[in-house]
Amino acid sequence: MRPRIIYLLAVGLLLLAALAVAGNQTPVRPGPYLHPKLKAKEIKIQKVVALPPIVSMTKQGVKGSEGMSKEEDEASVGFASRVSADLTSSGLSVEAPFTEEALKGNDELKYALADVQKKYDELAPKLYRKPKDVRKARFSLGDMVAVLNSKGTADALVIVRSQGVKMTKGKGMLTGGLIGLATTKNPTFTTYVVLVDAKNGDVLYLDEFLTSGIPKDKVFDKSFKKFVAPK
Amino acid sequence: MRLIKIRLVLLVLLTTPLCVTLLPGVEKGTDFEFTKVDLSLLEQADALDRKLEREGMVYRDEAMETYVNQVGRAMLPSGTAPERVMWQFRVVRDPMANAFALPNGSIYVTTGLISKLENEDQLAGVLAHEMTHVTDRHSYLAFRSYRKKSTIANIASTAASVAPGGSAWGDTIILAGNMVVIVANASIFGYSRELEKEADMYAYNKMVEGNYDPKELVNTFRLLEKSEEVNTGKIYYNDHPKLEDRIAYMSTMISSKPPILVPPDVFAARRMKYLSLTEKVDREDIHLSILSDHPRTGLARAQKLLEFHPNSPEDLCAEADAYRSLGPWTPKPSDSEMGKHEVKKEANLEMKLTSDEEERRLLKKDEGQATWRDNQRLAEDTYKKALAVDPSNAKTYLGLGQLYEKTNRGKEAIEAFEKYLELAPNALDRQRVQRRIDTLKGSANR
Repeated sequence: MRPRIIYLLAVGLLLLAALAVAGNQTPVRPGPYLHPKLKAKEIKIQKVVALPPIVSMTKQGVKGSEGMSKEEDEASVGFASRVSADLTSSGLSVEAPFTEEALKGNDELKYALADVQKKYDELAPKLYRKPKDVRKARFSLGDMVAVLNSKGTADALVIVRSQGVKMTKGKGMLTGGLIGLATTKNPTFTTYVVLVDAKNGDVLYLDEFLTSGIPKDKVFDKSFKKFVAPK
Repeated sequence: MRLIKIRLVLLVLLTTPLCVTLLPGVEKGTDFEFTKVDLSLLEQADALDRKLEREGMVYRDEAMETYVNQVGRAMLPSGTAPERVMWQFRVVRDPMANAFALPNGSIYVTTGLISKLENEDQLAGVLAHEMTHVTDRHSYLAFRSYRKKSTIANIASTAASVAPGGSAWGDTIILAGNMVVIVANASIFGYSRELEKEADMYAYNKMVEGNYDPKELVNTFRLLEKSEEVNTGKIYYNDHPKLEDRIAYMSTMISSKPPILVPPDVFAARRMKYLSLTEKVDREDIHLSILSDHPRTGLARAQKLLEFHPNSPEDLCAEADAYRSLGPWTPKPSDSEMGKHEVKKEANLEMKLTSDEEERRLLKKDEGQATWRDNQRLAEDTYKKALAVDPSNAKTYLGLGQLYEKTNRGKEAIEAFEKYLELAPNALDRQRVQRRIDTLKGSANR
């Protein structure tokens, strides 16, 4: 073999090895992103209303994606209560009024909740695309969110989305083999934690993190406590 | 280097969303034998039913549910339901005009489609069409075909391209896309031409049998061709080449085998019943259209309602809400907006800008300002017309208050909001409105 080819192969292998190592590292969390008023402590969050978190899961295969309804149902079980418990342990007073029982027979409330969740999902792609713009106070859901703060006592609404992707063995190997990420954790969940002002709908806080599997213990980490619920 | 290139091409193919091209079904529904794959699809369909219910997507109104079920059941084939099918007909809260059938027998019609249709005959045709996909097991056949093929697909991404930027518009498609890949595919692009034709033929025959006018199926396709918005994506229910095909073969069929004419009084009575029963759904759809930043659709729906019920204060209020929400947008897309380049530009902006930012962008132009003023004036006139008919309609005061607030008429806004709270003391948005009053009073004092 000519020295040039050996050199190129060596560089290629090194790159693949570096990518493989990077793939197994916990990714650096660039967030959380804070609204300027929250950062300046002009807004204090003590009481929150937790909206039911939405978990979605898809299986990515060589032939495309498929839903994982059963696994999604399993992953959702208890997630809402874990979110609430974790918020409480962060030192916040938590209301979680949107239980299945509470919504049963109350279509007005059910639709109001669905409308706010939809409004968030409409904003989400723009929010995730430019998360730094939370610092510029660019995003808001509008004061329609106030309908979910019926007592008028909450400071913020907590919106959580957890999106899981499980690669089939075939796709994992093929993709991994190509870019050196064969050992990437599976399934991987991307969870977004968002706090919006309960009165005017301004996005106050956004954090995004990756976990292997649905977040089990702590949904809100130290940075959340530091910025949102300081003692 | 060549190997690296091949790998790169493979990588791009793996990560690039492509559309699935479905093979036409070769098996018939009656002789259908369930495989493990079919059962997994059935499980996903059941889960989608639960999800739509849990997330407040299913529209609940007893009279409407009874009506849709009654029309749907009249279109069912004779005999018992096919194995593992339990028929249910439901309305789903989504302003995008669409209908889809799950393999378990759940047939969904969106509020957008209900409000776009004009009579019961059209609804019967849509339901009959959708149920053919269930009875002939089209979803299972397409799912099997999809799994066998090496075509790469990412339906969630495709669905996202239909409803760019993530939106309440087409929400059911997104949901279905995340859960039941084949349902999304069929909802967006339709099944193969042969399967769709089969469903249309069944709908035609069933309509004739049920004393419905099959010409209304053609009228349904024509209605679906019309759009009140600048369309940045195509779905099955507005795919023009497909619709033109369907109009052509259905028209040929009707002229070659003319059905017995439906007596005009029977047709008119059914139409009246449809319009009366769907009035509330239409108002819900106007609210959803406005919420998903499609006020033009909301306005068109409100105008349709007012043709039927010209002095309804609720319908007038809905029309005024739509005018108010139009902001700097014209009630109908201008010719310049419909150009290919402009549609592409608009789709890009939708991805990047929030609706407030888009509004501000348009308001920077003189024509945007003029349109905004026209829309606010029309909204005010219509609210006042609604109040003249019924001065006790709380929602009209709410809309009027929001209009006055937006046009910096603080005192009038406070009065309108206070009147709203007086008329609807237990409203869910009481806190929100009270806060607006307090803010306005605070500004006035400063």
